[in-house]
Amino acid sequence: MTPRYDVIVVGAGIAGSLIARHLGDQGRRVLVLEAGARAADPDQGNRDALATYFSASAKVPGSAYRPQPAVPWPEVTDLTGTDAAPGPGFRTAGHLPQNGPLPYASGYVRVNGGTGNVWTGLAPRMLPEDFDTESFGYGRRWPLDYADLEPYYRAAEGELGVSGDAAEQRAHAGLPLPDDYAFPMQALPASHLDRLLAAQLDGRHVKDPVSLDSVALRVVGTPHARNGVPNPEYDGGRGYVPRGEHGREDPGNRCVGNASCIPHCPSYAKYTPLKAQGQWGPSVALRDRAVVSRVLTDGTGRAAGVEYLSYDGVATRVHADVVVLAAHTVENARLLLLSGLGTRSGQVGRNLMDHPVLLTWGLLPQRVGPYRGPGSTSGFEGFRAGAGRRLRAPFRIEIGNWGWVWAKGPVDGDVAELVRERGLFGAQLRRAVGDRISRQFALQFEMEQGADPANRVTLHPHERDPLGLPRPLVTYDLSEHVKDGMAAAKAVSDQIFTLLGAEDHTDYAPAAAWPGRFEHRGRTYGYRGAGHAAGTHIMGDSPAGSVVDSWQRCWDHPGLYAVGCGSMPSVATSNPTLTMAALTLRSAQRIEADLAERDRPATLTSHAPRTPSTPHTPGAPA
Amino acid sequence: MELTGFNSEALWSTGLVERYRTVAIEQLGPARFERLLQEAGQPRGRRNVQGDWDDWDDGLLDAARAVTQLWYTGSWPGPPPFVVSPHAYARGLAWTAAGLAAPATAPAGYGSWGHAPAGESAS
Ligand SMILES: Cc1cc2nc3c(=O)[nH]c(=O)nc-3n(C[C@H](O)[C@H](O)[C@H](O)COP(=O)(O)OP(=O)(O)OC[C@H]3O[C@@H](n4cnc5c(N)ncnc54)[C@H](O)[C@@H]3O)c2cc1C
Ligand code: SF4
Repeated sequence: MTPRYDVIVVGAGIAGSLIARHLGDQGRRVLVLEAGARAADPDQGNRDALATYFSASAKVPGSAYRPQPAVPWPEVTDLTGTDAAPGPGFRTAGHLPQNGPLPYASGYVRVNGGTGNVWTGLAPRMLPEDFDTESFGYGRRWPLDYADLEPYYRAAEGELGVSGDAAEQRAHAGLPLPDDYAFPMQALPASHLDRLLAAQLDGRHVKDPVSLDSVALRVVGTPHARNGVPNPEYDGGRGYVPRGEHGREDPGNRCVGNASCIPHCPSYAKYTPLKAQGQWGPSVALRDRAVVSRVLTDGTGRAAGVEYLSYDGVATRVHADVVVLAAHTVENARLLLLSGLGTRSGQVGRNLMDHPVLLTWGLLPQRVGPYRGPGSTSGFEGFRAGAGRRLRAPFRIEIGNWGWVWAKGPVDGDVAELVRERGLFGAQLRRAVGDRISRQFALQFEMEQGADPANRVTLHPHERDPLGLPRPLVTYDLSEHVKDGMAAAKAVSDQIFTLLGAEDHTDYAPAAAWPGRFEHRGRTYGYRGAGHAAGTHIMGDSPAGSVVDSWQRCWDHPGLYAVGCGSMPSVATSNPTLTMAALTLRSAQRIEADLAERDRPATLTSHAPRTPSTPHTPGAPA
Repeated sequence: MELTGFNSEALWSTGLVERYRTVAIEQLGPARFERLLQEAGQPRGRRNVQGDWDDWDDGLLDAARAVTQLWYTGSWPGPPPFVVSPHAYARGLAWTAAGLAAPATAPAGYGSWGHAPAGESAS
């Protein structure tokens, strides 16, 4: 049978949209199958998303979209903490049942563009030492190193449109960026809160009670996938043009400070997959409301196509030479499991990781002006690297610009407390609300969680989604290493609060609001999930211990790729999407090489000396 | 209004007075709403708010709190809570009290988040 498509891509999120764009640029016939709905009119889609978000009582990551019964996704509100004996516990509802000791506390979104619509857009790189944490006694080593990925990091920074300060990243984040490297856009301005913290904390030291290190504090700007002022030095002096609506060039587009990046940037300043989609060539087709239910293989295990279901359950089969699973960590694992593929290593679904986040929050003595600009613009980078990693999980500290929203929910909760518990009305209330909100700040300690085969996604033995497919079932826990990281983080937070003269309001209560809650060495900690799902089809250098190779090709299944954060052997302390995008661009190059190989005339392959194919993916280094 | 700490000009300028009246009548019932209007509308001298409201019964106090929360957040506190409209969300008095704007309603431009916050706007 002649395949109608060269490539089928499953999922039109960040990874799938990028792959499709690159292969489309090579003239490849690409069919993108997307489970979620696509807005018929993208402009209307933008307005609808905003109105839906405004009207949502719980402003959770999925709140810009109406739920779609046929394609459920897990929302953070599906989890509730309980106080039941023998200790802290939690309950789950919805799409992602769980049976582990602690909850996997993150969600994702299944609409066209995926979780990539709602992400915050922070885009730091991993550190060179992050590619091998086995030397620190935990996690899994990558089959690649930083140098292998470096050119693709550059390409990904170009694709996503990253604003950053190379000199600062070099000096204070530990990245070996070459002296002549410039990010596409200049660093985004630091928030007023960042500046207040820098003025009081830069150069001060805090003690990490677990590693016993004394660490110098320094507020460092975070690279962002959102539009700032273009850098004339970018790309050897060629400069950069920001991209706005539909991914079109829009030189004046800037982040204007809407402070709603999660879930929706109304001004097209934040990168989303819809920008890549806007640049798709004519040979790329998107079919939305197409829920892939399994991968088809031929008798030899080679990928042959997929089967997908419409919302009313009608199955359709489509065929291609290459199938790329880009449905995100949990759903990629579910698809491999539903298809019974990649089973040799026994690792499919295993090694689920996230950034469990310890939050601390309080009031500064002075007005901060929260809820302005991106959710976080700077952080403290001093706890990410070094020998301390042996003793406790390393972490990145994000400075939270949006008050207490992640810890306590929207300001409605502050108002309710002041009205109902403090009994305030009138001018007193007005003063108290103003004072309470305008001095809020938060710190977000994002812990590295090492790969652990026991943290896993399986198929639920009997729960089915509305299309009749087994739901994913998650088993999850935090290691002592992570818990020790949180203990260190809390101690660091306490010292920072003292240095700032801040009023600490951190309290992981009530139980219902903290499903991720545990006791550790006599103290109670609460965590949230950063939404950074990784693992489940991790890469490695042998089929015995990993699911994909360094190109994200499934061992044993030629033509089948599983791309995304699921391939990452370690999630490091950086927000993972830039690294994931770099890996994706690298895979796009590999796929193009496979297809070029297929198309090479037989006479040439048999007679001509074999030259290694060096495909050039636009935007990727040659 | 006495309850919110904002004067009637500030409240009328939100364009929400009529809408909130409808919501409150729906949620509280006309009788309780009328009582609340009368009681809360009484001109009183300087007072400790909490002390003064002590002579209100629970039903009235609860109604006063719900209406106050509605004005501050654009959301009826429930149960179950609901946002009255996107415009109501945008005009929540909590933001005005803090000298801020509700997220995504009034972007102040590139880099605006780096400046010291403006003072609480007098109204
Ligand atoms: C609130 C939040 C904030 C975040 N902030 C950051 C951040 O600041 N920095 C960072 O690096 N990362 C961040 N992330 C993580 C980031 O969103 C993900 O890493 C990224 O979106 C993953 O891209 P993806 O393409 O693999 O998956 P997605 O973007 O989720 O796309 C997957 C697509 O596959 C589709 N799909 C799923 N199942 C099927 C199926 N069966 N058939 C067909 N299609 C299917 C989905 O509908 C979706 O469109 C955040 C996540 C959340 C939740
Ligand atoms: S702060 Fe506003 S403009 Fe900037 S990226 Fe976030 S939502 Fe978009």
